[in-house]
Amino acid sequence: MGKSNLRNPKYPVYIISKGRWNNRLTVRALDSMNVPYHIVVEPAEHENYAEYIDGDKILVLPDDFSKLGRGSIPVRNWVWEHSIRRGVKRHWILDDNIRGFCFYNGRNFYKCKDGYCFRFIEDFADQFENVALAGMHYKTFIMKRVHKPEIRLNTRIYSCILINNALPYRWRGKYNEDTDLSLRVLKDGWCTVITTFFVALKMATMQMKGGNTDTIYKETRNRYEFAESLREQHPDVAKVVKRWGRWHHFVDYRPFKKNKLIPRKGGKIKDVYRFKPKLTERV
Amino acid sequence: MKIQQLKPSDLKPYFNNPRKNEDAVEKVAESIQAFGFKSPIIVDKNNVIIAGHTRLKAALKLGLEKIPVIVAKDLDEGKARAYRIADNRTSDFSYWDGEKLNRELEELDSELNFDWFDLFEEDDPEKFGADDFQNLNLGFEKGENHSIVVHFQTLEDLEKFGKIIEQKITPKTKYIWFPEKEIEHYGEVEFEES
Repeated sequence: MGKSNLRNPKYPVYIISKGRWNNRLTVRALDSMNVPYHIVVEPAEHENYAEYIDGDKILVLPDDFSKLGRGSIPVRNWVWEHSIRRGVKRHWILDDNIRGFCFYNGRNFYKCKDGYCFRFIEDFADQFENVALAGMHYKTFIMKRVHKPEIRLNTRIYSCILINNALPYRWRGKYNEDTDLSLRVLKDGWCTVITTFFVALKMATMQMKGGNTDTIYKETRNRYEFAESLREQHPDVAKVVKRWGRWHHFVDYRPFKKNKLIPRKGGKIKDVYRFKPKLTERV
Repeated sequence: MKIQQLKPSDLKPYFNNPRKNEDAVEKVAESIQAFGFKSPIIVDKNNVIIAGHTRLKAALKLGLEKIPVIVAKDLDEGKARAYRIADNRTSDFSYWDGEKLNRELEELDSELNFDWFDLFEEDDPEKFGADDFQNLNLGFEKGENHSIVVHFQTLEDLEKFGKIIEQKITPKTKYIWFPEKEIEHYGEVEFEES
């Protein structure tokens, strides 16, 4: 494997997208980093996306997907099966409203110019037998409080997710699907891994046109229903609470502290750890 | 039982208080600010605290002139020592009823100046830094960030503070950085083999 490949993901990257061919935030971000990807679109929107994106990067869903009315869930499962057919151990699934990926060195944020952030997380996950999901935190959360650059275990992974294809689960439900999947794997003793030094610049859900904002989320403007659906799925750890005048789901991840990383037999620290950041300060 | 109003400086912390309470002082101070001092401190006949060390620290932090105190004249030194432990241990034997707590939280007035959610922090994951994994060294900068809590007596004070530090602050602002962290203006990073 050449040097440049160590700065790019080794597992396939899928962007699921709907109605956002004009802004293409995640596509633009990955293009700027020279990270290879596939964008998964509905047949009716294929031509729109094809105006801007190379044909070999576009995967078109079967005809009947847009009629299911279940948001991104069937698409996510289609992607999962697609990656299994490719014979890969894991796959990335990214939302289509990520503006970029940053490195946080404990003081400032630096936009990633290559795909090392993906490769680092992949190689970290591959050192262990039981990493089910891995990903990057949102920059907004890191901004809010004083955080150290670190790796966190056994919490939710969202929006930019590296999934272990061997998992016996599939996406389900309609809302909070990433929290639901995280909880199911954690309850069965798997680990999840999220970095606070590689972070995603994510637009807030329901604040951008396209995606499911105009369909699924429009059906249910009541935030209580979003939160309640998660509580119904996981009444042992999820609650519905009101904070700052709005309903939120509240998940207690403390029971999953007992899930420990199991080193892979014969696992070695990968070459990728030899890489160091070269920072260019803002002008 | 008689409740007296005494100066915080009149009370004496017990020299061997076995309870570490520094982390709780801020929250107790917030509670006192929101609701007043509703739970008196208990002292012995020499004004040595039996129960209420955290409340005293919160009162001092808030600069309160007088606080409610009960002098437990009926407790001798031995009983006071036992009660000092019992008072803190009893809460260890009770726990929250999630559903009832949830209902209570739902009914809370969101305008109250009290960060309820922080009391039930959901996300306290296991964390690993550079020291925990061999070769995980990406040139992180260490420990120069600091946080303090700033209280404002009036909305005008808050606005005045915003003008002084040249940042937009409203009653809904939950955090700021100084100097302000710019949202869209980043440096760049690429990774090289070392």
